[in-house]
Amino acid sequence: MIKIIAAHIEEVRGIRKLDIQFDQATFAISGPNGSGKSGVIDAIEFALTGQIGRLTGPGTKDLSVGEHGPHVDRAKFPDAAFVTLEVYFPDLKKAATITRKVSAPKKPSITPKDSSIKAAFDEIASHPEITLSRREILRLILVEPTKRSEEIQTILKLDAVGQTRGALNTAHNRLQTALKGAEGQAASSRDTLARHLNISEFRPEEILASINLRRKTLNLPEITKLAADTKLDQGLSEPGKAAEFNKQSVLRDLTALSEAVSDLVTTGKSAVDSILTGLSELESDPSLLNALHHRALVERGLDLVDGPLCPLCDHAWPDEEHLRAHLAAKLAKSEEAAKLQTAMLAAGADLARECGKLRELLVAGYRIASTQNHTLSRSAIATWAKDSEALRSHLAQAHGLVGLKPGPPHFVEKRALLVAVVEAKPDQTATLDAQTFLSTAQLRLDDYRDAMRRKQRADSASQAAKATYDAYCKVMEAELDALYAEVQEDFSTFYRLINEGDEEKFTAKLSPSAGKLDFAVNFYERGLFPPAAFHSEGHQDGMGVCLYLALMKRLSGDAFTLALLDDVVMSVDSGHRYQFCKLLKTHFPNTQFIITTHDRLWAEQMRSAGLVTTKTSLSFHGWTVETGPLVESNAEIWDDIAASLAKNKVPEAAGSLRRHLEYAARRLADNLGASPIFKSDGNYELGELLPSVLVRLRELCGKAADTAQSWGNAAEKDAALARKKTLSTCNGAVNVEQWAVNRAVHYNEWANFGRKDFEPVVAAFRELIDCFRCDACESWLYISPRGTPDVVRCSCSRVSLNLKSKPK
Amino acid sequence: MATIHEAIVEKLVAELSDKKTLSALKIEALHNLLKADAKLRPDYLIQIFTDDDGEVA
Repeated sequence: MIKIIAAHIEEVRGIRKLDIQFDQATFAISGPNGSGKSGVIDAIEFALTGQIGRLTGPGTKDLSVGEHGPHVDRAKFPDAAFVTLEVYFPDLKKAATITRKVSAPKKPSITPKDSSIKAAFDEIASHPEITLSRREILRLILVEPTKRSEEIQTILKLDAVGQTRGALNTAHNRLQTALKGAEGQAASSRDTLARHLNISEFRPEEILASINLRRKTLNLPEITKLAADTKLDQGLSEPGKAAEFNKQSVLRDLTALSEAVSDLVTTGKSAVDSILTGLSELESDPSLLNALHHRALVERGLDLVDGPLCPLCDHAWPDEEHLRAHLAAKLAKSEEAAKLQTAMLAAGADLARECGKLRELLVAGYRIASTQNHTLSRSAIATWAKDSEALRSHLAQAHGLVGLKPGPPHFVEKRALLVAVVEAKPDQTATLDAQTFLSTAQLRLDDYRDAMRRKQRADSASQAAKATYDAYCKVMEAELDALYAEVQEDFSTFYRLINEGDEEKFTAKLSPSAGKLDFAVNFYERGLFPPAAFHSEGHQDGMGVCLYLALMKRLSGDAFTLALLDDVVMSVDSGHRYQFCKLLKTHFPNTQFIITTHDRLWAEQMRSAGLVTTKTSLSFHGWTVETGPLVESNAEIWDDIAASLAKNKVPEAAGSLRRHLEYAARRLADNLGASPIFKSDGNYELGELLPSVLVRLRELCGKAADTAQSWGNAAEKDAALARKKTLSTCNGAVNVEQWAVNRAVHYNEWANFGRKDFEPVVAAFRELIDCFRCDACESWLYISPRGTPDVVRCSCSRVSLNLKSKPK
Repeated sequence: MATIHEAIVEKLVAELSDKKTLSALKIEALHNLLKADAKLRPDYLIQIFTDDDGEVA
C-alpha cells in the first residue's frame, strides 16, 4: 500500500503552512485541544482520498470540503489550499508525489506519471477507513447492532457483497414471477386443448382416445403413441383448412367463457381485496401515495449518482456523499410505502395470472365471433381482452394499481347473443366435424407445446437463479462467519495485550444476524455484556481501537501500511499505554501510524516506549488564526533564528527565541517538577517559569552531587557539579537572573535590539537550554518517578543523575 | 489482497462448477459479471439465467 515520507500543507483547515518529515515511520503529533493536530490528519486524508472525514456524515449537512476545507482566511480562494505528500509504495518499490488542491479534489497531480503509481493512489483513495477518529470509535462500539453492522460492513468493504446478494435475490424473485406466469399460460393452453378434446383428465390415453375416435370416422390410421412431434391431424388431405369452426368445440369454449364470467366475482378475490385495501390506505394518506410515486424515482436516482450533481434535478451538492445521504434519507422515509408496494405487487401478480387465464378464453371467443362475423360480441370481447391485457401489465407496476377499471358493460348479454348465433348453425356432418376437430386439436396442441417450452425455459432460468442465489448465500455466510470469527479472535488478543495483568481472560463475541451485528464482551469472567454495560470509557476506547485494528488487519492484511489515529486513545489510562505501544510495535511492525494526542504525557510515553523518537514526533503548543499551529521545539529552531538574523530580521528572530523559550520552560517545569508561584489559570509568563526551572535543575544537580558523594562515586559527583556550575555561570542563566532586577535585559526588549546586540543573547540562551537536554538523544531531561524522584534522566539514559543516597 | 467480495465470488464459481448446477457458459458469464467493477443490476443476471446456451441448467 503506502507510507508517507513528507507532507507540505498549505492553507488547509487550521494550517497556514507546515512541513512535516515523516520518514515512513510511526509519528506522534501532540498538542492541546485546538492546536491544529486534527488539521494535519485532515490534510493527509484529503491528499490521499480527496475527502475530509470530519466534514461528512451525520451532523455535517452544511459542511463541505470545497467551502470548509481551506483555511478560514482563504475560504474564497480554494486554489490556494493544497497538500503535497511525498510517499513510498513498498510493494511497488517506488516513490511518488501527490498534490491535491481543494479547488479540484478529484484531480490530483501525481508524479511520476506511472500507471502503477496512479492505480496505487486510486486504491488508497477508496480507503477512507485509514483514518480513525473518536467519532468512528463510537460508531463501532456504542451503537445499536444495525448501525454497527453498517459501519463494519463499510470498513470491510462489504457493500459489494450486500449489493450482489440483493441483485441475485431480485433476479431470482423476478424469474420466479415469470415462471408463475409461464405456468399459468401452460395451464390455460392445456385447459383449452382439454376442453376441445372434451376429456376429463389430461392424460395421453384420453387424448388419443378422443383423437382416434375422429380419425376412425375419417378412416385415418390410429395413433398409438403420443410423442413430442406427433401430428394429431396427420393424413388429413389439407390439414388446418377446416380449423376455423367446429361447432361442438366452439360451444364448449363459449360455455367456459360464460362460466369464467360468472366466476369473475370470486376469482382472485383475496388478491383483489388486498389491492383494494392498499388503495384505500393510499387514498386516506396522500403523503403515502406521494412517497410511493417518488420512491421509484429516488431509487433510480440513487443508482445514477456519480458525483455531487443530482441526476434528478441537477442541484449541486457539496459532495457525492451528502447527495447519497440525502437520497437514502428520502428512501428511508418512504419505507412504509415500500412495504405497501410489495404487498400490492404480490397481490397484483396473483391477479395477473387470473387475467392470463381469462385472456385465453377471450381469445378463443374472439376467434369464434370473427368467424361468425358477429360484430357486437367481437367488439365486446376485443375491448375486454384489451382492458384485461392492459390490467395485466398495470398489475406489475405500483402506479398501475391505482385507478383499475372493471370489465366492459353488457358483456354477458352480448356473449349470449353469440351463443345463439352458433347454436342456430346447422349441425356439421360427421366427416366435417371430425376434420375440424382434428385440425383445431392440432392447432391447440401446438399452442400447448409452445407454452410448455416457454414454461420449461422459465423453469430452467428460475432454477438457475435460485441455485446461484442459494450458493451465494451459503458461501457468503461461511465467509462472513469465518471473517467475524477471525476479527473476534484478533480483537480479543489485542485487547488482552493492552490490558495485560488486568483482563487476561477477556473474550468477545461478534454475532451477525439479518443485517445486525451484536457485539458482546466478557467482563471479568462474569459473562458477556454489551461494551458499555460495565466497562469504563477508557476501556471502551481501547476496545474501539482494537476492533479497528482487527478489522483493518482482516481487510488489508500485509497492505495495512498506513493508519491515521486522531486522538483516539485519550481515555486509555497511563498503565495501559505502554502495552498499547507494544501492540502496535509487535502486531503491526510494517504499519506507519500517525497518531495525534492532546495528552503530552501520552506523547512522552510513546517516545519512552520506543514507538516514536524525537525525530518522529512533533508538538504544537498553541494555535492562532493568523499563524496556524505553533510548533514546539524542533532541531531547526536555532537555524531558523540564525537565518532570520542573517536577513537582519531581529524582531522575527526575537519572536522565535521567545516562543521557543516559552515552550521549553513550560515543558521543563513539568518534566522537572519546578515550583513557580501557583496560578489557578495556569497562564504562566516566561519570566515566571524559566527562573523556577533553572532553580529546580540546580537543586536537583546539587542533590545528585550529594548522592554521588554518599556512594563514593567521584565521577558522577563531578558531572553533577559541573552541570550545576554551568547553570549558574552561563550567560543565559545570568540573563534570566537579571530579568527581575534589570529591565534593559528583559526579553520584552529583544525586538528592539540590533542584530549585533541580539546575537550574543541567542548564543547565551542556546547554551543555557542545552544544559536541560541530552547531547546524544536530544531529549529533555525529566525526573522519575514524579513526586519524589529517584533519578534525573534523559530518554536514552546517557544522562542519569542518581538522587537516591546510600542508606546510612 | 482479494476483497471479501472477490473471495466470495471465486468460491461461488467453484461451488457452481463443482455441483454443475449451471452450464459452463452461464458460470463463465456470471463470473465475468460479478468480477466487473460496474454496479450489478438484476437485469444483467436475468439475461444470463434466461440465455438459451444449449445446455439445460
